[in-house]
Amino acid sequence: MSHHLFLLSPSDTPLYSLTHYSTKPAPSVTSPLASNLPTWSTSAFAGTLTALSGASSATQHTTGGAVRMGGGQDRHVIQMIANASLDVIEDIMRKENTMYLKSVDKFNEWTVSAFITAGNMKFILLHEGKNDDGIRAFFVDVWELYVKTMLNPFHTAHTPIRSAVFDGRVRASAKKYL
Amino acid sequence: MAPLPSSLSPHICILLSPDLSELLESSSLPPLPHILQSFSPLPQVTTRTTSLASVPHTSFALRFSDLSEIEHACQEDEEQRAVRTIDWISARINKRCVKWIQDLEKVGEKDALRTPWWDELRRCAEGDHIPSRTEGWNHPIAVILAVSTAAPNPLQAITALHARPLQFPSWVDSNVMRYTLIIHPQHSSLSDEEAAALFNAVKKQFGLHSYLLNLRLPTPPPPPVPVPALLPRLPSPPMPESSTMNGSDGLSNTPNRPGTPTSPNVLNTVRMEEGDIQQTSRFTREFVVMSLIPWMEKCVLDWNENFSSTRRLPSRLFSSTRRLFGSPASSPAPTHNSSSSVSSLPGRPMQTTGGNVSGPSPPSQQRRLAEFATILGDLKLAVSVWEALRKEGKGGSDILPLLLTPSPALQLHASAALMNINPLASDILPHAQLRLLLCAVRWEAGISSRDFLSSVMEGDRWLVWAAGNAEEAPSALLLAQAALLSSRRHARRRAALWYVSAANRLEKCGIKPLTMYFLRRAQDLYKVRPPKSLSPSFWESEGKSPQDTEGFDGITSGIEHPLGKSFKILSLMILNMAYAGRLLYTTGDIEEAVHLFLSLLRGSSRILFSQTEEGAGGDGETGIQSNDKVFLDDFRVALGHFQATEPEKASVSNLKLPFKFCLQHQTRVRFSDDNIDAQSDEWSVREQTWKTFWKSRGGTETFAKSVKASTGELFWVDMALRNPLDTEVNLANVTLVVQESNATDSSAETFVEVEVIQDVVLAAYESRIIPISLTATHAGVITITHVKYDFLSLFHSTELLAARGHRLHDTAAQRQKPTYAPDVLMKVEINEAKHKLQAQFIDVRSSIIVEGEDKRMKLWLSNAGSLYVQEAWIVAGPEVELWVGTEDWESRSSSTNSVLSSSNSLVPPEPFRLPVTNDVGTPGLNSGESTEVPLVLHDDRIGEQQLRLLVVYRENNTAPFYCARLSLGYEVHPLLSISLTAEPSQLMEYPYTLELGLVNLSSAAVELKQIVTLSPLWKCTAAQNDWSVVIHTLHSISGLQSSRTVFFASRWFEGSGYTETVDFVSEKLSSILHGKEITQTYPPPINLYCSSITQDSSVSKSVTAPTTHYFLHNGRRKFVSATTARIQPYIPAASYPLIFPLYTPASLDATIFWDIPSQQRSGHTNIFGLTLGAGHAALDSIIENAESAKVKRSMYAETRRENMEVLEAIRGSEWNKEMDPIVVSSHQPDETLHDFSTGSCQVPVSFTLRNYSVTRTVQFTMKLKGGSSSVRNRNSISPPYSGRLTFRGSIPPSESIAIESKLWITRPGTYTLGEWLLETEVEDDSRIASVPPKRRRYLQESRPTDNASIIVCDPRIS
Repeated sequence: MSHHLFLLSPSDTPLYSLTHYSTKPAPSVTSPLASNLPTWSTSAFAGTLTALSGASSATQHTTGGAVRMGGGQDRHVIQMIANASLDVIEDIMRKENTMYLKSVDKFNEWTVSAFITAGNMKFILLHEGKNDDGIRAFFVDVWELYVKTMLNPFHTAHTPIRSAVFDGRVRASAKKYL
Repeated sequence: MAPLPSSLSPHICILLSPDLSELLESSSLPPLPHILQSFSPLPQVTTRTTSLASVPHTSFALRFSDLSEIEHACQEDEEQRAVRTIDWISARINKRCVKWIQDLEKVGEKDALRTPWWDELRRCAEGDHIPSRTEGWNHPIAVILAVSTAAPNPLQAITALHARPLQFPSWVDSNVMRYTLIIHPQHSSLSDEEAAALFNAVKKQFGLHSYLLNLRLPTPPPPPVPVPALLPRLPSPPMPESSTMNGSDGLSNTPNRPGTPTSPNVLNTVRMEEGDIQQTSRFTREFVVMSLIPWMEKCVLDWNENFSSTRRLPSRLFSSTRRLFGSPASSPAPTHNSSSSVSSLPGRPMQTTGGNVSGPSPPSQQRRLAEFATILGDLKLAVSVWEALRKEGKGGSDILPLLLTPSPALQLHASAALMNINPLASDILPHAQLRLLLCAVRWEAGISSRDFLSSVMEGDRWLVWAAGNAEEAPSALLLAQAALLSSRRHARRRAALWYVSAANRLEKCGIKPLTMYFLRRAQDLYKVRPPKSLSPSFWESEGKSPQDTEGFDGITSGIEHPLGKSFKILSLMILNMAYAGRLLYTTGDIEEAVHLFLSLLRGSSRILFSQTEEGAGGDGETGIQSNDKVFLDDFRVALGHFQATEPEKASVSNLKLPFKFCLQHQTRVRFSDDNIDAQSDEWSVREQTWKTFWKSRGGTETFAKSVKASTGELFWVDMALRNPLDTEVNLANVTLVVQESNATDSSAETFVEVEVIQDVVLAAYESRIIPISLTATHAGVITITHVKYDFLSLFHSTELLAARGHRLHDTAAQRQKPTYAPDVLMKVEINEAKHKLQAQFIDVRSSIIVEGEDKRMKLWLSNAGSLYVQEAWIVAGPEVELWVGTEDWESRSSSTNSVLSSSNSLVPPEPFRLPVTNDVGTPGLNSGESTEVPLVLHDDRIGEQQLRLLVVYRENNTAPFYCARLSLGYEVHPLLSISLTAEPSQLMEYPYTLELGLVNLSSAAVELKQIVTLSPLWKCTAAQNDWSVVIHTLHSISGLQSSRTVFFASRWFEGSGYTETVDFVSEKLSSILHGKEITQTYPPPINLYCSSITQDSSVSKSVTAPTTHYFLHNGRRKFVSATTARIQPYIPAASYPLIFPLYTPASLDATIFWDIPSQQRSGHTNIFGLTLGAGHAALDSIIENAESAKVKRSMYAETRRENMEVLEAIRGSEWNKEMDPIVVSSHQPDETLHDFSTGSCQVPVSFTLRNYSVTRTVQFTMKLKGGSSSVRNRNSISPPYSGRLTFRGSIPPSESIAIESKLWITRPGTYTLGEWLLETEVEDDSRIASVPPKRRRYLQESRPTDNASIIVCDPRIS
């Protein structure tokens, strides 16, 4: 199970990105219900079914060179998905006022959750499974770490975050929650 | 509501008699289904609902097809047909997409909702008219049996047609309406009356569903009339057994067969005349309005009865209990099983099965009811029936979105429909794929685009869901359409993602042109920055402009590289094609590929992309790999191919690198003056030295603006290059573009020669500075505008060398909005060489000199300018010992020992005026004349040294000065290690014994020529003034050998200046301690006694000779400055001359002159730092004063600490030395013989007390403590002094006194002469009258290690 985190500036410049491979056992209890799900389980029905069965899509692992759209770990595909999800995120931002946007978008097996800070920073997380509370806690952690980074007077909204401390703590938080 | 998609229209099959087909063929007409299809859709048709409300249809679509074709197609396996269909669609699209794209690009409209490929896909999908097992739309509703009156027996033909059973498989709905059509051509053998009779007979026999169609069908066919295009249809499978069937009805060779893409661009035409068209149209209308619709309405009414009876409460309750108890859906429901449709073929077993379960059963009556109601526009009924079907899981969710008003529920319907079709996860069967496609197509066509795109429906996502994972052309096109719709919804980023995935799939299908087109679209969409609702002050506070934000870096390369690659594949394909000579392509694509690859190389602006890898999850990428190398290789191949195939195009193609190699801000112009160490700030120190000096002489002339570059002289541009790529690149023919400044466009290449550097290889991310030399042949101002090189040796590229100007802060507007001065270009002013004095060292044979060597060199001065040079000065640093001019070492007086008067000043030497005379001896240098000045350089600092001299010159007495720089690097090797030690002498005549030790560190033999000692107080002599011993020992030291010699020092009383010097220093230091300003006075002059020890006095050097004096003076000055800087770090070096004198009065310096004959070197080595004589804490009083003075409190602990450190430094300095000035030495006969039989004996002993103070008279008390006669140790006996044991007295400075005493010896033995105690008292000469002089007392005791002893022997015993 992998997670991809992107921190985007208000102008959508990526400032930080993290790929996290979770050791948590991917909920592989493939109930017959879940195994019947199509891979393009983006439909709302499939989503509710997934929620019911607590299963993630079982077809996330493609082997070999056949780069299936979204199936491979291609960096640019992941980036494109994160980028494409911005369309929806911006729509929702206009309408709603919440910081945590839960599962705003889905692309193939990737579900996109987002977190919008008051300063218009966007944290985008691509995940495969469903882990609402964990993701929310993770976002709040990252937010706090980001605010601490922003306290640096030389840090602007466009400065890429290269701090090893930030990186380490985000990883630790990812390990804890994701 | 949008009109229903055409695939949801009644399907009517036509069975023709053979005579009719012949008739149509003979009149050059297409088959009858095609003719009739041309009249669909019918305008203005009105239907009635079950509640008898009329529904007007503005257009009512019909589908006509040949019965036998449909019958035949039904036999084919569905999966097989689906595979064939997908391939057929792909082939159609592949064949035509090049043209489409060309057309589209011609039109230039990019945001059209319709794209040709989507239309094509839609038409292909909707053109499918083969009945399906899962839905009833394609099942024929009516069969038209058509004959012509040209048949030999029309009535019999009609009967034969009616007798023919429908050869459909069992699952095709057999509830069809039969209709008879008689075509009566004008040239028929039957007359009109006969035809009418036939018609009546037919009506009587086969019912009212019949029609007589009178056609003229003239023999030369009339001009063709355009009719709507037919939907493409899948061609029949090339099955061997089918050929017979096809052959029988003659369909396989009809000219205008739909679905054959032979002439896609030819308009579909029918060669019928106007009257016939009218007739046929009337027939079609009558067929629909009078027969088809009433018949369908009747079916709907009947079936609705059945349906609504099942909807009544008991059955609903029952069915819901059935659902609750989970009995399988296939069990027949008791009431609504509905004996299917009207059973024209009785006896068939009827089953009600789920719509999506394929089985040999026709579609359920309920489903047919829903379909019919949908076709007839009875939406209320249709929706309720579809809902009922959906709830029972029998389909319907795919149609409901078309009928209902937009609501979020429709999304659920859509997704449920798609999931029903394809419940399996990964692999989509071709058949399911087609159904998904058909669903998507129907939605797209049947829902008005405004609703479809609304945020409630999000129709673009439906298409993506329908595309699924299938990697076939149809699903790729679905994605593309989704992308198009998304982009219309202004979700550009999502659209781009879908375009890219569509392109990915198309690439696998091999449809390259569309792949490229989609990638381009994606690229365009990514380029568009979505507008941000951010405050303008956000950008202001960030100091950035909204334009220069950067997105994900991986995305564009992710798009562009495949895009480029497909170009490459194309180009390779083209290459192969060209070999085969089969296809002609333009190679414009390669050019674009080259441009694309180039644009991919955009250097690094990477952000931190990190990832965690835990446990087994670490099979991902191991780091961020830069693709630069891949891109560069692709580019190289593509460009190489481009240049090979189209050299003329390649040469003109305007390739521009998207990144820069040159770092403009670090690129500099360098001139010959500053080629060695331009950065060294010593030059400005020299200039300052000169300015100070010249000012002190009252001169007002300043330096003229220096001329940097003059004609004919080389200067350089140090290009700072940095490789931004993560791979090695090479640049060939690197050179500069220069322009003459005042002439804007004229290139300066005519008079400026620029070096061309053949090849520069830069490793990944390497930075390097590359000097490029330039020479100008005449004066002018040139601008260096560009750097020019061949990237990868493949194509020319230039880079602008302008650096951005500095940020302006002058006005408020400038401060608020970053404004920059105009770009700065490198400008070089090249002047005629008017004032140019070239200075150069000549005669420098090697850059290695040995320590202390007097290196003789020549300075060559040449007037390279056009004007006269009258005077020239040389400015050297304070640490340089440089004698300019002819040497003069020799003695003028005959005596070896002489007295030298020294200024005693630490002032560094002033700039030296060079003796500038030309060859003939007249002063000054005319243009082109040159002169040589001899120089002697002396250096005793070991290691690498750099000599920097500033030559200052001018034309005449009033002209400003110009300067030339002169630099010489050399290395100093060590030669001699010299030690000079002094200790109080045992000899009465000389207070000190000096020991000189020499170690030759080099391998060459060193010949010592002369030893010179200099001191204000001491003179050196050999014992008995016999120097020969000394000279002999010093004569020559072989390599790596050592030598030592001894001589003596004694006071020189004629000297003067001792007390003055000490007073001067203590006064100055006192003012330092009190923080007063130091007065601008220099130390008083001092006389030095110079002793010279030489082998051959005729060649000896004299300290009074100017050169010798210069070197001795400056050597001492360097030494004192360095020592002072070390000891007194708080006193600035510039004020040393005002505080410290050159010579400490008690110092003794030695200088050794030597030769190395084997290397023709000579030189001198100095030994400094020896001070003789006792000091008396000369600074004690001022230190005390300072300590006792009222302490100025400072709030800074550092200041206090610093003050204390200054005080300590002064207290510990050599001026404040203090010691016991008296040294005791004893004199006694070594051995005394005495016959102790005669009694004890008296042995006289004398002690010499020498006062080493040079200024003070010393009081002393000496006590002899002997007499205890105890044996101190085994070997010696303590001295039994007798007589006077205490002596008192005083010794004047530098004097000695002898004390006589006696030993009373009673037995033979060895008696030591220790056991004395000496008290010394020195009186300070206080300068402050009020304070009583201070006395210093010292106590000295004989040391047990003193082994002065006396041996008394008894001759009798010995």
